[in-house]
Amino acid sequence: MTELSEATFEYINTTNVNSDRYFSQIIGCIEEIIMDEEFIHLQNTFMEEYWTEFDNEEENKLIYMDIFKKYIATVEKFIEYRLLQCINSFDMKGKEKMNLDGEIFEILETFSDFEAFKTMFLDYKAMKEGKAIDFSKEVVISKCSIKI
Amino acid sequence: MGFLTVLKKMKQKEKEMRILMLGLDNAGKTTILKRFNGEPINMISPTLGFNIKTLEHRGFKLNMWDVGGQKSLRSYWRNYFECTDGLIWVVDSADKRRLEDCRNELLVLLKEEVKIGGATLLIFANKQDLPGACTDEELCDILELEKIKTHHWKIIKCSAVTGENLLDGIDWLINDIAARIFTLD
Ligand SMILES: Nc1nc2c(ncn2[C@@H]2O[C@H](COP(=O)(O)OP(=O)(O)O)[C@@H](O)[C@H]2O)c(=O)[nH]1
Ligand SMILES: [Mg+2]
Repeated sequence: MTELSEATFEYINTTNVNSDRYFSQIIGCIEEIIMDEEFIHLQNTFMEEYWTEFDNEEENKLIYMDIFKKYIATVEKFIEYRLLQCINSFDMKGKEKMNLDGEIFEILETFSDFEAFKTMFLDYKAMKEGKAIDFSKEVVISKCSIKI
Repeated sequence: MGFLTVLKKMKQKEKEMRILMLGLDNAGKTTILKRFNGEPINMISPTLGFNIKTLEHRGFKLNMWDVGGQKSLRSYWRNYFECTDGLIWVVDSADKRRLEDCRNELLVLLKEEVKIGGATLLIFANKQDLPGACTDEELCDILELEKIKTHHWKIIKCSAVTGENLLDGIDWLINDIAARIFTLD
């Protein structure tokens, strides 16, 4: 991880996030980065390389974990690289993005969520094999209570 | 640690815990997991990969990871350490021939895990319903648990088949983790 982004996230961690313009700008950048075609292309390339490893079984293969770690590293590297460029070009007097609703965090979180990762691959596999996606299986995390 | 992990940790205030369940193969890990989840436990085949279940208990969200325990799979365990708050080490208390193996694997595991986290350790002395199962005191001796100084630990006897003490174990684990993590801030 680059020093800059480490410092950035430390900064986020220790700042009153809602009132801070710098933070808003970073969030704006991240938003742009993950909407960018290049990022979507990166994800698709990644899935194209590994989708054949995945099967729609409850038990996960050990190799999923290796692929997952590679995925996180790939996504992180891309976002950090682009973030660095973005931050360097900050116009500190520029317009702010207000009304952050935390949605961006949810999206970022899914990048490091294993269940979301697996679902993404299974959807891609279904698409490759020409099957329609069954949206009833879209639920990413099944919450259950302990039933003893 | 990459920034996605940092982000995850920042968000952890929402009473979420990650629990990693390990132990020799055939100890009963997957049975315990399914039992917690209210699934049938009579058709469980040996785990070659890993299972994940998300449970809610006492307002906590528990992400439970169960990784296969065959000898050839044990070197993969370390892949699952990151962000682990609680370790459950499951022992087949009736499989006396393999207790030495069990002790050695636990020792190796703790040595590696402490570098990353130092999670709370619950030892489930499972299969107490079987005749001739070692008691928790006996296991404490054989597994040399008193020597563990790097982790908070506790041994609890249980049976995944009868359900005995499973919840007591989880409750202790949650309490210890909560005391370690959530009261810090
Ligand atoms: N009698 C008894 N059998 C158990 C208990 N827990 C698990 N088993 C059995 O032990 C075998 C291995 O269980 P499994 O959950 O696959 O072990 P794992 O390899 O640690 O995941 C299965 O045949 C289970 O039915 C228990 O508490 N009592
Ligand atoms: Mg198993």
